[in-house]
Amino acid sequence: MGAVAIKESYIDTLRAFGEVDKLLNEAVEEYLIGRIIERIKRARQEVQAFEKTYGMNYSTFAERIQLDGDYYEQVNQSHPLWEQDALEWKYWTEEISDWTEKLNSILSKS
Amino acid sequence: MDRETEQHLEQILTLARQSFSAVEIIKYDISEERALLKLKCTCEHRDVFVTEVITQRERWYSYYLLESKAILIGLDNYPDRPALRLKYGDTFGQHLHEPIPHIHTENKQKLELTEEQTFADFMQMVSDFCR
Repeated sequence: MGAVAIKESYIDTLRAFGEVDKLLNEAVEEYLIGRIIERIKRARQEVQAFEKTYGMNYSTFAERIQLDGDYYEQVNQSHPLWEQDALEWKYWTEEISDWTEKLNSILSKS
Repeated sequence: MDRETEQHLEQILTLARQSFSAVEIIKYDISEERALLKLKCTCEHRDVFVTEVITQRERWYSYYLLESKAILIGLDNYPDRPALRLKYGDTFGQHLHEPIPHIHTENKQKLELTEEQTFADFMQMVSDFCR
């Protein structure tokens, strides 16, 4: 448990609705769920743009660019700056994974 | 990410603004586990594309200088097929997730392995190239 400063007036008003600690935790939880969902949505939009461009998900792309010589040559021709895309694509893919895990963790405890 | 990461990205931005023109921030994102900076700028009549990703364990980069869509310099550490093969030969499949610093030149017709490079190293190369 951590200590945070909250305006006295908020605490007084919260008392009218029940146990202050419980209500504060519920409010923070609700806030976090909202922010995490926004974050996942944003990351999904970014990933979808790359999936549309390359016609596959990141893990398939990474595997093919490393193991399939013909595909590597083809992408170098069609998207010569694909490395720039790949770094960002991986970034948002990992963001989705991490934030989804955090969301599930919060939801499983609530 | 920590304050150090933010400072690192700010430093790249400052260097880019000092040396290049029309610096455009395409993406700037700092999250809990990683950070991303993506820039586009120009150096005289040439285009510069920069992507930097910092994670808790690694730094990934891709710095490119283009002239009329032809790649003059491409510095990155993405573990692509020829770079992996050059470094590890037939056992490259065991190193697929490892950063492999390398340079592309001659419109990606030539690839050589390098030491890990920074944005400042890239700027020096661009400066030498444009001289």
